[in-house]
Amino acid sequence: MQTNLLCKETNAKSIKMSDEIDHPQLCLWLKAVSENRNKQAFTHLFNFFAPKIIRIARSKFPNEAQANEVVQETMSNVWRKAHLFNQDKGAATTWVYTVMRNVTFDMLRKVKANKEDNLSDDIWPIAEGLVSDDDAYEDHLETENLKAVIDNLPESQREVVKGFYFMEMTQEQLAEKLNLPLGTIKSRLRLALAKLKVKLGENHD
Amino acid sequence: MKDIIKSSSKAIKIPIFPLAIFLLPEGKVRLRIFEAKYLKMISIASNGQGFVIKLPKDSQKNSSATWGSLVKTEDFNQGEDGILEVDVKCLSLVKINDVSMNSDGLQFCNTKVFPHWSQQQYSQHQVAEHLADMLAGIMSEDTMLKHLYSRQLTQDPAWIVARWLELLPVSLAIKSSFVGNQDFNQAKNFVESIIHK
Amino acid sequence: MIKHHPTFELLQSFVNGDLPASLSAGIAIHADMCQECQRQISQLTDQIAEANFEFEANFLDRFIIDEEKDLDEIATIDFDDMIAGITASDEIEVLKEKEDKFISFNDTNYKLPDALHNMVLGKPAQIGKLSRSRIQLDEDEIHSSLLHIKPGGGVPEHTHKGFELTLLLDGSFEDEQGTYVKGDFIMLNSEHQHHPVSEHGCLCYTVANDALHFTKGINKLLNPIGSFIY
Repeated sequence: MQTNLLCKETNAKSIKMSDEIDHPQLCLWLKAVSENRNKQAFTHLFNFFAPKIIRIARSKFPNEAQANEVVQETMSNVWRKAHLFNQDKGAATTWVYTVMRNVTFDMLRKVKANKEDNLSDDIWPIAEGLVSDDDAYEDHLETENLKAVIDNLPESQREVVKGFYFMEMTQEQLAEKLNLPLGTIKSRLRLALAKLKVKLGENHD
Repeated sequence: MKDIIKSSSKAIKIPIFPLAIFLLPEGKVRLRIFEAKYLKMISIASNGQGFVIKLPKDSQKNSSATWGSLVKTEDFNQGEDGILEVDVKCLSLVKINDVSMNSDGLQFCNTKVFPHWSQQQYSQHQVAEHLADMLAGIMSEDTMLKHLYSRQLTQDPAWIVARWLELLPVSLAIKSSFVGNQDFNQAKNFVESIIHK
Repeated sequence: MIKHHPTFELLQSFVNGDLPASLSAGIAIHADMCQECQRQISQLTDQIAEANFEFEANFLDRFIIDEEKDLDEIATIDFDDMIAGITASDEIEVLKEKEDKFISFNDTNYKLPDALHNMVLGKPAQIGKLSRSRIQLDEDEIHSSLLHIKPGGGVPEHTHKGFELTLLLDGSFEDEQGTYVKGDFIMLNSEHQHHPVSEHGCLCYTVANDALHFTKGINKLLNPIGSFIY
């Protein structure tokens, strides 16, 4: 039944499928940290995230010490708050990103407005997680029963059940078709979108 | 097509099928219909006026009015799991007005057809050749696309750009902007900046 | 039904953490009342998170990296030390149960949106049918307030130099463009002129980055009131 090459994936999902990040592994490590306070698992998480967090923080803070503080704070929140991560609500990358973004936001406020009010967790709650990625246009999912059945299906089958066969290609499929690396496709999409955004902005004015 | 414009001008309300897919004129998709009210919708729609596929509101932000894709049923089948499968083709884009709901929870609306760049003729040299070739390649390899479009592959530049827009992995909100203020050339440039060797 | 939403660009900056606290809170409050925006935010967060943590790290809008320089810098931090420091304590963060907070205007208690829980609210000041409590965020030229309009009250016709966000927390109001309801996220820029009136009363969260300029009659004389209201 699901033999189509072009199974519909949402943008978010197709990115989530990226082969560059081993999402199940990240989830397992977070779980091990949360349930067993497993230092080995934390070290793996640290080695995966810390270098990237440093790069990102360096783009936001001119000062190296501040960038290091972002890493320190983010990773120690990961250690202390891992039990608040709920893998049903989203990917591990999304959760760690939220933790990092919140740390960065509060630190920037401290630097710019000299305020230590730590507002970020009120604005972007990390405990509740984000709304589940329920793409279905609610109308089709009125009964809780149907919803439960669909949620238990493998992701690739959900869209088919929800109402249609295929819609767009995933980034992976596009890369394969064009015989180009996935990274190239992603860059092109971002560039094309960036250009488009400029145009949209112009038209709005 | 003419029947439909006639019937909507007589203000016959057309049922709405809310679905997060982007479909331009001549675009096709296979739907699976299993809810009672939408099965009913299909039977109403088969009287000739078709139905309207409408995107979620948040993906229509880049366009000024609420619009939808007016579709007609081209084929239908019982799927292997017993679910009704309906192949539809988009006839035109319509502005959606006066939405009301009947007792089954089915929405109906008045529609006004509006022209879209994808329905105009452009000379063939206006679009890069490889867009057509690659699209034909993809469509011949994919079982479903092959089935839907087998007899209708064209070299028409607008058709090719429109199909690419439907297929590309970008958000519905972005796609919707090509119904709003973006013209054929902007759409073509967008697709070409992604699809090239 | 909510008809006015933040733009896609605004949602994107929100997810990136690039907006000031005042606007971030406005979007968070709106998203609490608007499933569609909430869903879009959650998708955007997935995408941006993924893009941030990809190995290639070529997230264009963000940074251009100089590989070698970067590697050098990373090497200057002792990861092992940091890991040991962090894991030395087994304490976990215990989540405090959130207690609802309320604010009272005109003898009515309103539940304070979660995003404003830890913000410092000034004492409400009143002129006629308008009461306003400033929110102390210290964001320079950006002013945030809770604005309460009693039934029949309104804000004099005005324009302003910067932007003006009005987020309806409760009740409704009307202006030249139509009626606005709870949850509506109304962002105006300097080209707009408007004159909101609330027949039944309302409570708004407002963010403006410039004093308002009144354009009509006697209100012109009252121009200083502009900075008072928003």
